[in-house]
Amino acid sequence: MGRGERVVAYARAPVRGLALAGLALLGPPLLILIFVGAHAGLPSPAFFVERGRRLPALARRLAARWGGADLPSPYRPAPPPPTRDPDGWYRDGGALFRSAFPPAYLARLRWIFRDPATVRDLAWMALNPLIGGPLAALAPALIAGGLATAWLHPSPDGLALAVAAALLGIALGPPLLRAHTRWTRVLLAPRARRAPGRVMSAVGRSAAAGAHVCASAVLPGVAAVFALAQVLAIALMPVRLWPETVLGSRRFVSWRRAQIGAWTGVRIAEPYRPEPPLPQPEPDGTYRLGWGPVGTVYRTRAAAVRARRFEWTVRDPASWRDLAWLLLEVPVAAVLFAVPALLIGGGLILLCWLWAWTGALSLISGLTWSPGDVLHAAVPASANIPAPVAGLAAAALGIAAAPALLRCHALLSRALLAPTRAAVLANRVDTLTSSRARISDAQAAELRRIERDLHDGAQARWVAVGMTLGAAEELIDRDPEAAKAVIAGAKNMSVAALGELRELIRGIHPPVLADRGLADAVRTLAMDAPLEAEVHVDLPGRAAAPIEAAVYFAVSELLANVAKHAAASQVSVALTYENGLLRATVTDDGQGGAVAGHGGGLHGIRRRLDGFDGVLTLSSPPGGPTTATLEIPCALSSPKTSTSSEKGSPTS
Amino acid sequence: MRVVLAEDVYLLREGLTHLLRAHDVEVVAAVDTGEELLDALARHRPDAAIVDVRLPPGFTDEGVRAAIEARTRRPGFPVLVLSQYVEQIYARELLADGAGGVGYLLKDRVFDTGHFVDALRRVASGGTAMDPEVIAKLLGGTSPLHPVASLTPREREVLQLMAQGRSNAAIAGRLYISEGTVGKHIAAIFAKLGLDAADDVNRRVLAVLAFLNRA
Repeated sequence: MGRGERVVAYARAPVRGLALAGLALLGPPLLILIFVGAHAGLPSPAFFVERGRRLPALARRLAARWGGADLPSPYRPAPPPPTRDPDGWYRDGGALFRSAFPPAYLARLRWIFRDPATVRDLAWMALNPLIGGPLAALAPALIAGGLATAWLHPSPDGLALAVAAALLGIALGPPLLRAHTRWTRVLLAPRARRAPGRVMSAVGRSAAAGAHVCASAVLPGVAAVFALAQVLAIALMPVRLWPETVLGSRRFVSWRRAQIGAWTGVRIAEPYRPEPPLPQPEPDGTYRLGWGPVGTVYRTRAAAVRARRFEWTVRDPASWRDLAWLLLEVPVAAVLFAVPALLIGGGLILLCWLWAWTGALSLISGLTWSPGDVLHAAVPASANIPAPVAGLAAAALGIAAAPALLRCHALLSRALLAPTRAAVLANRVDTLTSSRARISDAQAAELRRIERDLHDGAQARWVAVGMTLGAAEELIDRDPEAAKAVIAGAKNMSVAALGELRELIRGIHPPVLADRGLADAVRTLAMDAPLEAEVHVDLPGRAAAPIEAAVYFAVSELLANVAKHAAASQVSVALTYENGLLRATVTDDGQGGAVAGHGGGLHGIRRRLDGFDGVLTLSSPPGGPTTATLEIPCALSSPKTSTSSEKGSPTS
Repeated sequence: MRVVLAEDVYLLREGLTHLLRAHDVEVVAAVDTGEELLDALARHRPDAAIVDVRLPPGFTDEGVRAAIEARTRRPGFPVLVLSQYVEQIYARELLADGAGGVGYLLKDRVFDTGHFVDALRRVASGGTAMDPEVIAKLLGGTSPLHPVASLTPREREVLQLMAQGRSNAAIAGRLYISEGTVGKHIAAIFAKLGLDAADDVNRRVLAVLAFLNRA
C-alpha cells in the first residue's frame, strides 16, 4: 500500500465508522418492527422478516467493500412455487388446497423460520448496537470529542488534549474497522460446516437448555387451550365436536412427544389406535354399528362415520390420558419451569439487555431509571451487585437447573403420554397381523414367480433338449453329420437352461450367502457394483439365515439404486451390530435428493424388512451425501457354531 | 498327465473321469471331500487337481478352501476349481498368491470338452483359466474412473480373452484378427493400464489379473 493510500485509509476510517454506528442504531427499531409485524401477521409473518433481511444484507455489503471480508448470503434458497397435482389440488404435507396461495404462503413461512440464518440475523440486530456500534463509533467519537474540546477550551492544555484525542481517533480508525468486520462475520457469515469446539458446543448446549426451559414454561398455555376446547366440546356436543378436538389435540401432543424426545432423550412412543375402517352399508342402505351388547341403526353415512369416530376416540384410553396430560401441564409447568424461566428470561432480557439500553439512553437523555433499581428494590441484599452480574448469575442458575427439570417433566409426561402395556400389546398384535399377511402374500408371490420361471424357462428348455435328442436318435444312422449338429444344438440348449437356473437360484438365495455368510456376500456385491465400493464389516457372529437374506437383498437393491440414480463415484457399505440391532448403512457421494416413493425399490426393501421389524431410514439432502440405514433387531449366533471354516480343513 | 478329482456327485465324478481318460489324462484318485483331497494329493503327488467348490460335509466352499490349503502346502500347485456359479470373491482368493496355475470355471464349460481339456493343460503348465463370467464381473465391477474405462471396445474384448488365460494365437483365432494385431492391442492395453509388458504369456496374464483384482 502506498503512502498516499494509507493516508486516505486513515482519513476514511472514522467516516465509515460513523456510518456503521448509524447502521447499528437501526437494528433495534427494525427488530421491534419485525416482532410487531410478524405477530400482527399481515400480510404474512414471513413478509416482515424477509424485508428485514435488507439491513443485514447492507451490513454484509459494507463489510465486503470496506473490510475486504467476503460474506456470502447465508440464506437457504427460496422454495419453488407450488405445483398443481394432476387431480387439480395443491398439496402441502397432508393438506390439500384448491388455490396455490395457501401452500405458497406455508412454504414461505417454513422457508423463513426454519432457516438458522434468520435467528442469527435477529440476534445480530439485537446485539450489534452493543458490540458493533461502540467498535464503529469509538474513532469518530474521539475525533469529535477532540474537536469539541478545542472549540470549548482553547487553552494550551485543552488544545494538547484535543490533539491527542483526535490523533488517537485517527490512529485507531482502521484497526477498529477491522475489528468491526470480524464481529460482523460472527453472526452474518454463513455458518461454517465444521464441528464447534468444546467451549462453543458447551455454550450451545446451555443456550439450548435455557431456550427449552423457556419454551416449556410457555407451551402449557397452548396445552391449556386444547384442554379447554376438549372440556367445552364434551360439555356441549360430544359426538359432533369432541373427536375433532381430540384429533387436533393429538397433533399438538405428538409434536410435544417428539420435542421431549429430542430435548431430553426420553423417547415416548405414540399410543393411538389405528382409525377403524369406514362403515359398510347394509343392503337396505342403512348402517348398523354395534357397541357392546347394544347397537344402533344409522340412516345416513355421515352419521355412521361420526358415530364410529366417536366410538374410536372414546374407547381409546390414549384420548383420556392425553386430556389428563393437557389439564396437568399448567400446574406441572408452574411448579417446574416458572422459576428457572423467570431467572433466565429476567436475567438476560431485563438485567442485561434492557440494562444496557437504559444505561446508553441515560447518557443522552436524562433517563434515571434502570432495571437494576427493580432488582435492588426487590432484593435489598443485592444493592452492591451490578445488574448484569446478577442477571448472568440468575440465568446461569436457571440453565444449571434446566436439564434435571426437563428430564423430570419428560418422565412425568411419559407416565401419561406413553402407551399403556395393553395398548402396546394391542398395537403389536395389529402390526403382527398385518405384517404376517404381507409376508405370506409376498411369499406366495415369490413362489408363483419361481414356478413361472421354472415352467417357462428351464422346464421348457429341457423339453426342447429331449425333443432334439430324439431327432438326433432318428438321424444318427442315416446322417451322422446332421445328427452331430443336432446334438450340438441340444448341448447349447442345456447350457442356456443351466444359466437360467443359476440366475433363478441367485434370486432365491445367493450361493455365496449360503457359503460364506453376510459379510462376504456383501463384499461380493460391492465387487460387482460398477463404482468404487468400500465395505466395513464388524459383526461378532452370524444372523439367522432369513435375516441375512433380507439384509443382503436390501443392500443389493440399495447399491443398484446408487449405481442407477445417484450419479455417485464412491459408495461405502458398513455392517455393524450394536445393542441387539444389526445395522447396514450404504452411503454414497452422489447428488442426494433421493426420495422413498411408493412402489419403488425402496418400498420393496421396506416390505421385505417388515417381517423382521426392520426399519429403513433414508437421509438424502440435496447435494448429498445420501445415507440409507437399515436396522433389524436380532440375535447373532457365536462365530464358532456358525462358520465351518475349521471343520473343512484337515488338521494334519 | 495325472490328476486328482474331488467331486461329490457320483454321476459327474464318473463322467469327468471318463472324459479325461478319453483325452489321455489319468485320474489317479477321485474323492468326495476336501480332507480326502488333501490326503490324495499327499499320497499320489499328481500334476494337477480338479475340485468342485461345494463338497461334503457342509456343502459350502470346502473345495475352494481345500484348493487354497493345497497351494499353501505346495506353492504353485495347479488347481482347477469347478462350480455351478462363479463369484469374484473366490476368484480373488484363488489368485491372491499370484503364483499362477489356477483355473476357475463354470461346470457348464465341461460340455465343451476340447476347451475344457485345453484349460486343464494350461493350468497344469502354470497358466490360468478364468471363466469368461468371472472376467466379465471383474471388469463390470470397476468404476467409470477406473483406467479400464479408457479401453476401446476391441481392446476390452482382447483384455477379456487374455484375462481368461488364452494365448495370443487363441485370441487371434477367436476375434478373426492376426496375431500381430493382437500384440498391438495388448501393448496398447498395457500402456493404458500402466503395467509393465512381459514377454511371457503367463506372467502377462497374472499381471492383468492382479491389476483387476486390485480394483
